Amino acid sequence: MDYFYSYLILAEIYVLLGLSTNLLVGVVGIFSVSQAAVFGVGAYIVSDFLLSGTLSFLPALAVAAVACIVLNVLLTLPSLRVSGDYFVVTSFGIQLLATAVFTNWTGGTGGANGLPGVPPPDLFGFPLEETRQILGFTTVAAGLGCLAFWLAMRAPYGRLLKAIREDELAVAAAGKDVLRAKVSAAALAGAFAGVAGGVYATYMSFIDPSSFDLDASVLLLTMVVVGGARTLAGSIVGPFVLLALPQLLQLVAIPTTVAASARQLLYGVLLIAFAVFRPQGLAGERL
Amino acid sequence: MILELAGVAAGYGSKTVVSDLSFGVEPGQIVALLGHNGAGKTTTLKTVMGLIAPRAGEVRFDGQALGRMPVAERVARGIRLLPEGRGIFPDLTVAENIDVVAARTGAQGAMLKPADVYALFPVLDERRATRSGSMSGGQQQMLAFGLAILGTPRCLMLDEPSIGLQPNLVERLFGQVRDVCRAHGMAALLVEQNVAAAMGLADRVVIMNNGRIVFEGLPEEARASNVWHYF
Amino acid sequence: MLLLQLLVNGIVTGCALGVVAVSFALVYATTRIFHIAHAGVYTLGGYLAWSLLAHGVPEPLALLGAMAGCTVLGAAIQHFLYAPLERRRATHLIVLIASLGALAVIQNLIAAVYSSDILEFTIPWASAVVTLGGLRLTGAQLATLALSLAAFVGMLWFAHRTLLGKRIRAVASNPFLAEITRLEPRAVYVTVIAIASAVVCIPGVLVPLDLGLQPYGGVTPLLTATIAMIAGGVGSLGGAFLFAVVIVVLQNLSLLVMPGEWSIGVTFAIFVVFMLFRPRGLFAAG
Repeated sequence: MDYFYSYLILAEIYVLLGLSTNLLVGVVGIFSVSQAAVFGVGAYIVSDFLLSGTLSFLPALAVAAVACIVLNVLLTLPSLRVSGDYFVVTSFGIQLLATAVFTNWTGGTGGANGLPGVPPPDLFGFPLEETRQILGFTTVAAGLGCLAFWLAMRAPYGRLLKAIREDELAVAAAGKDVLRAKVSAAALAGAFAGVAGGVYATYMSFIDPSSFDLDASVLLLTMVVVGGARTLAGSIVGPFVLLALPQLLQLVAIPTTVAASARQLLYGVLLIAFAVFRPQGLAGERL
Repeated sequence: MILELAGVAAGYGSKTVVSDLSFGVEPGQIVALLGHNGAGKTTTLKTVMGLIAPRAGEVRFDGQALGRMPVAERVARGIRLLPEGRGIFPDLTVAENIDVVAARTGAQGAMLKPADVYALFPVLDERRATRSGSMSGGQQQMLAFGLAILGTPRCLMLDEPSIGLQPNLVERLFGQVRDVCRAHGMAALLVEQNVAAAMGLADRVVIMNNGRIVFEGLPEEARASNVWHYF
Repeated sequence: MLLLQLLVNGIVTGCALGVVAVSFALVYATTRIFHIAHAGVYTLGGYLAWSLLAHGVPEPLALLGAMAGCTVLGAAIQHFLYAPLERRRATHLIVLIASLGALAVIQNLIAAVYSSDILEFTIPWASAVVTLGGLRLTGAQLATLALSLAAFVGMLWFAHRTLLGKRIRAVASNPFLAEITRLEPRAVYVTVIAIASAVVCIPGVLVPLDLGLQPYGGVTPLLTATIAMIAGGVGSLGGAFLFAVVIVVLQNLSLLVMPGEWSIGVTFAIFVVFMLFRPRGLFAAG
């Protein structure tokens, strides 16, 4: 049963990340392979505050969210200034740079050895130590994230984003602030990733760079592509399906030495298959 | 008839731009296709070229229905298009432009070889090594026309060839179109905004409005009739 | 002396990455596809050569065999992935995603076959050292310099002096006109990716002689190459090559003041500077 709970908790954390990536890739329409970097920044910030005892969980989570909002806006701005392809370079660059920082800045991140012993999350002084308590917390967090995404998409703001995607020049000509709309989507994406990072670190109680590397970013992108762009359903389906797949791989007798590459191989195959045959994913709109 | 359209309809996506088009062009003949913006003239040319598939009707070339014949095959048979405003490879030199097109359109017994194009436009001969995109608009259009007729063109479609050219250059270019048609029996289908110049060059006139043909006849009949409210 | 040695090392590796940049730029300028999977083709080249050598194939033949393998892979990616996507009118974003998927597939197939650990790629003459007035150059470095320069000059000669090269440049310059003058852009795209894949195999074999083979080792060189292409101005093969050399030299010189783990930061900083001040690159055409 614990095994199943653990799957649910992780899937819910990844729902937040799926929403974050979906906002950038699906809604703003930029290619991103660096969302795991933002996720990692959130995780390390919360871990550092909790390990040093400077802040308790919720304030630390708030700081991480704000930091990731700022970071994500800074990372997205270049894409709004230059053509889409240059953002591919930005995105790969940010991810590789982030991995270098996570691995080599031992003072803040513990380097390649990671940070062990991150305390469990607590709410106003009550630590959430049991798996079921944490599941309750992640369910609320993911639920709030979904609600925010759903409200934003059906508000006039969501319609503005849709109009920008269909005909950016016409929207700009109508006097709407295109840049501001895109930047606020990126900000929301940053908040989701930062919160997800903090929750992930406290649940796992150990983090290291391998959770936030290029492969992790590719996984997040795969979740959006498989789930489907721009819809709430797509952002939920993607993480639940993608996190269940490795369990299925375990049923096939694959030697452990190639298990990691088999998993990444599967993500690659899914990216290609969905791009060619089903660009709307399982429950989304066409990318 | 070298080129014949019979009841052709075409469009993009869910939108039908032209319908029920029927007209023809004889070898050596120059037909002007006139009409205001959005009348469907460029769509008609693209349909003949095979860039869009007709939704109804048939395009026949030299008596044979073209169906879904690929663009490259149509070019090989002598259907040519001088596109509006982008008829050259701007990053290549003049000579490279001509060589690369001649190699693909001018087989052994080609009617018009690079030497013929240089003879027609001596200024291109002088500027062989110049990057074509850096030449004047008039020279670029000469090169574009030269590329369009390399090989064995049997029906040349010109899309707004006079745009951005001074009146004396338009006159010269149109004179050269006429000369090539007369000398080689090439047919021409001319889409033009410059109605006066086009009427001066054409043997026949087809006028389109809202995707349909509203007049077909001789230039003098067009002048005499009451079709001008379409412009 | 250390400064000079780092400078020379930078120029040698820079020339190799310059070839990556030129081959990528040729594909990008012609097809407008941001061919991320090129990193996978680059990586495969090294592994193929390693396997052929391990089976006793002579060195020049191993290189040629690896190039042939890369050519087939590149052409297959265009024919079986990009071309169907174009026929389905896929958005640019979807093509990028598919290309990333192809990269993941190539890298992880290599990892599954050869293991994901670094594989030593040793050839006796490659580690032999030549000393030139205090400068140390390995055989691998000399071969890298010679073959990379030859590949670069060969590419320039091919693009400007051969009919096929001119046809490729014509398609890049005006794809619409190419379509209606029978240059057959789609056939050209396959050819371009095939040629670029054969060429990128050369640095793909030479660079690992120094650093070893790693299934995921193609991403950083590709990132450097794309930054060089952008800084040099898309469409300028010479600009792409030159900037690859400049970037790698700066990376190497940065070793004087900071540890090597941060060289990715130097590369990226160059990109940011260009994005802020000259987003169209230094030698942009038009």
